[in-house]
Amino acid sequence: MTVMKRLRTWIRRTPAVSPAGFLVLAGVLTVSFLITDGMGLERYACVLSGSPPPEVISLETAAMYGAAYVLLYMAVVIVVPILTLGAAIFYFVQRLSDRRTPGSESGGDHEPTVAAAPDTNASPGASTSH
Amino acid sequence: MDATSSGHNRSRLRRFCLGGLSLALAAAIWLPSVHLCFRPDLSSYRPADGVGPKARLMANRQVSFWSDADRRRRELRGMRSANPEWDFMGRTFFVLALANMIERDPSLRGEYLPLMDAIIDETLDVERTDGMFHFLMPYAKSAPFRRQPARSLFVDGEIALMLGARRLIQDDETYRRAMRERIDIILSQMRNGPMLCAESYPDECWTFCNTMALAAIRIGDYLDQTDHSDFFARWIATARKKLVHPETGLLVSEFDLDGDWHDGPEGSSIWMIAHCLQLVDADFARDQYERARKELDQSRLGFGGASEWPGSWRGPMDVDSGPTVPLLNFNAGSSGLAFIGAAAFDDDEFLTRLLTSVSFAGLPSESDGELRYLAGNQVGDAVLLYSLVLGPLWDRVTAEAGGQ
Repeated sequence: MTVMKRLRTWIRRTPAVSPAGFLVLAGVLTVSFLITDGMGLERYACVLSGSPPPEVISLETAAMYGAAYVLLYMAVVIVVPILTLGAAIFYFVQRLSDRRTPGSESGGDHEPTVAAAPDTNASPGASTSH
Repeated sequence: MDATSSGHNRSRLRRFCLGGLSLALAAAIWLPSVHLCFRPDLSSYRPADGVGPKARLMANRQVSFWSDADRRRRELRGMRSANPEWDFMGRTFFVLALANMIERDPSLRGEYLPLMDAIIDETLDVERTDGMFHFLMPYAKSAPFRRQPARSLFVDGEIALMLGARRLIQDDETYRRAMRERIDIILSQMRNGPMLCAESYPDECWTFCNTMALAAIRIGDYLDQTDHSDFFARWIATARKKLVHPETGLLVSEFDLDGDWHDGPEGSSIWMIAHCLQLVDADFARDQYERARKELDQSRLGFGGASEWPGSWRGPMDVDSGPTVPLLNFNAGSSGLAFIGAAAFDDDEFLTRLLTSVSFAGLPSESDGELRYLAGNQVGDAVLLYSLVLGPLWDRVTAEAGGQ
């Protein structure tokens, strides 16, 4: 299995509401922003001020590009740090909770984290099972 | 429901609660802190003396806009299609900024004075060739101006102000004549009515345009030793009586020649109004600024912004005001011009918060020695630049008044 396939499988099996799920979402947003930035979509951000871009392009397309860029930029500045910080808090709270209730394997308990190696054999439901 | 399924649901619910609480806690930590990543050092934008490095970079962007005909044509095409007024106001604010920069740093005179002349000359040429309608929105032709011959105070006032700024740097007979002619026209239009105000559009008087015209007349008084203090006093008395919105104490933005309001106090007008009134009635100007700050400042979480309307007045969003950010109630036009108010009244705290916002949401782009804000346009950049360098021109005019 290639690295990309393993990664895709791991991402698919990672529950959305889990430390790793938050990090995956943060990663997806960051990569999406980097792609729009690499495509130079920032030059369409002027549509926000009501000014069409200087290039010959339909206003609708420019508005779509501009809005996509700005939304992803805002997401990277505001949402990504919250997701990352939230993942760390979530992880430590779970660990603390697990220690206090010996024998219990709290929700998300088998979920991989960034540091953890992906468990490619785990079934999708495994992470939430008791 | 069996025990296993129930336990599974409990576990899932617990995980969702923990996840939600973690995100809420993370947001509670991050949101009040995010402004610290964008909070600028004010001295690099607006130092007490000289021109700040950031202002220089912004000026470079404007200089290259005016030096590169292709680029200007390209950018103007987009801007003019949205609002031809922006083309004109971009000129005014940049010329005012150039004059202030020369006053702040006389070594810039050699580069900036010819540019001021080029912009003014080109503006006068365009006006001569295409008429004032070139700089007005299309609805200016939808009805005849009530006063004939038709004149727009928007165009006359700002041209007079540009000429005045040029003459404050270095007087010149051609510009002196042009300014005197323009001021005579402005005064004849303004005096000829119950409100002492002139039309910018057919039967549409804007306090913004009328106060800019007052500032131009005041600069003319300084330059040519004329005296219109009686007219200023009558104008202020009329405005206090008929143009002040009772709930806020702010001047309304738009009215007809008879003084019937079309709109209430508007953020995209009031900040510049207060700045222009500094040349005419400093106490009234400060009063207007402080009221505007109280009514329109929407700053939160370390970010500065201003709403277009006070809470006691609901008006429409138009092409002047631009978009408003939902929830935060930050309006683009009002927040942009709030920079001028904050700088003019030495409100460093508000100015820093506004700069924090523009450093974040304005998408600053620095390259090739130029700084521009991608979320804005040339007129927005020119307004921002002016706010970072304003002061010396007004100080010269008011200093003499103080000494008289």
